[in-house]
Amino acid sequence: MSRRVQPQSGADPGAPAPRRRGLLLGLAGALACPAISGAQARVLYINSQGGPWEAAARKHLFDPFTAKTGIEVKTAPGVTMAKFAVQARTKVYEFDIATVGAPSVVQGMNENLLEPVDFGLFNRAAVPADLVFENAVGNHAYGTNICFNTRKYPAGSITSWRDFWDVQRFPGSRSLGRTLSQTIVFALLADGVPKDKLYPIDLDRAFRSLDRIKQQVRVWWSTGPQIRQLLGDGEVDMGSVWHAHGTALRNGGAPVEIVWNEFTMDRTYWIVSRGTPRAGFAWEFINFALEPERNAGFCIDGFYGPLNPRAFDFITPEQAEAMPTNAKYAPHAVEFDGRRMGDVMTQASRRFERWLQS
Amino acid sequence: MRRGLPTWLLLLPAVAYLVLVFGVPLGNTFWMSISEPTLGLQNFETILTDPLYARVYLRTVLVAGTVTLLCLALGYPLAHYMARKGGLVAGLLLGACGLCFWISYLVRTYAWTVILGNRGPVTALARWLGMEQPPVLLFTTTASLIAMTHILLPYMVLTLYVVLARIDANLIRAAHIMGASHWQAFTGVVLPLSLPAVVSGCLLVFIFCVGFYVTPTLLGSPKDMMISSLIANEIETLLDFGSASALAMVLLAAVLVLLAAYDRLVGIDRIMR
Repeated sequence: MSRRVQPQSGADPGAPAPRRRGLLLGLAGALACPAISGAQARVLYINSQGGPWEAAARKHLFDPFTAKTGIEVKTAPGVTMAKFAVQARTKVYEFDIATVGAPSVVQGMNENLLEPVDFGLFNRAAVPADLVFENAVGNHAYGTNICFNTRKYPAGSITSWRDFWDVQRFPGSRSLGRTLSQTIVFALLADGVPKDKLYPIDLDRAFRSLDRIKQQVRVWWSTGPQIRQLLGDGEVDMGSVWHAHGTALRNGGAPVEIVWNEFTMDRTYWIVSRGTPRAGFAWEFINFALEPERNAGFCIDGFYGPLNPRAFDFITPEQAEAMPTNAKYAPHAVEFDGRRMGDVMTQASRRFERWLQS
Repeated sequence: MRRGLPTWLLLLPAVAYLVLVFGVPLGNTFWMSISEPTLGLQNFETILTDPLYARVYLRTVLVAGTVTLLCLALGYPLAHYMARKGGLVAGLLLGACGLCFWISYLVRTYAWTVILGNRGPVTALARWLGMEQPPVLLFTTTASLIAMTHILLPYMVLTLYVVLARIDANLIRAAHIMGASHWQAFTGVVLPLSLPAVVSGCLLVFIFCVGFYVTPTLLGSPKDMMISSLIANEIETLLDFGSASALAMVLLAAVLVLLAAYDRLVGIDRIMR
């Protein structure tokens, strides 16, 4: 795919949509989804990640939104960009909106899978300007941190990705994520790239760095519960861990330390599936979700960091301890350049599959 | 005399259903494999020339073949025992096999992570036996082979049992009367009669196994990549529907070749008997 779109605030949303290839999928899709025929009903379908995400969203976003507007919220499971692609092709919508990370936003924009923000409905004045993109609105963030077993290594001993890569000083088994946008950054940091010099991404250097730790990585995890179990059961001694799962482990009494240095901050955005007839409801909902009190409640229960700074008015300092958007962690956070990371993702992913085999 | 409806009409609902829910999506997948991103055979060219794909296909076939042989080695004696024993014992064993179908294979896969993990019974047993360094099983090829064999074994056992139970006991008795030993009766009578079931059981297990992906990903070593996880990656991560479709088409072709070989060897209609 060669179409590249700059994610910038308020860029021209009227750019012509490239014609999608005609497909027979429509018929098959229509048969597969008989439940989504009632276009008149005031319903919004939200792609849910299930678990704590859905519990927090149901309590702080869905139910209050329904109470306020009368629009019912239903969920559909399984967040993948592949579904956005299928929906944009078939015009059959299993869900209307989802929350995804920056690389997915860029991918969605490049592949023309997203609705542009409707500034007639979305109140851009209510949130900081850096949260609003042409086709996406930031909602919350999560950290990916080094977590290690404190029975194996002394507390406070591992503080950086350089340490994580140091198999002489810290022998033991490791696990890293298959989420390459994060793992590549860790590999570069471990190789001595300063965090403000990460871009443009040097893939050769990243893979050379990964070569050095390949033997110690027992598992390349792909889901949060997976790495939680691996670290909690002591199957691996350290890993890159989404902060919510590290927090949950520690709250559960596991001997685990979460390192708040050189953690990557993944901002998560609301996106709307291109062409959905319920886009109006979607923007109304996204407005609502970003109200400070809503944003705060969702992030407290869902173990995220709110992106609306005013949300911290509704968060206690103790609760903020485990939030990556906490101002005191800001100097240690590694922010993504979603567009420049997105540029190398396809190549990185293909290369990673080969690299694993070699 | 009134002529009845032509028999092919009776087939029409089933055929129409298959065409709609199977033929159309399959045709669509084929179309995507030669039309995305542009019309042509470039997707197939990449697959057939890139050593990565060849290696993963080969590994998939090797893993599926190993699992099939393991299932046969474990399943045949069990099915044979059940068929000869009959009665309550066979019923109980059959029930135990059937029970496996009620538990999702995902749950069974996760159960193996517990059993083989470093807090699991296997490690505990090794420690109890005095091993300083218990064998590392989890996240190895062995672990994924064990779990896949466990998941697919019931298919093999049930396929074999159905045929073995129908072998007339008088045939075996007759063999004994003619002076055959147990082994001779088995190799001369039971085994040849059960051969079609062996082939269809193997085929069933092999074809299921070729499509496995969650189990090797969760239990195997990072190198244990099956072709379906590569297909999933093409779609989920890369949104490359063209390559994914082409990969699926090549897999389908490989399985069809296998079926054709089976047809030549045994005859496809014998699966149904």
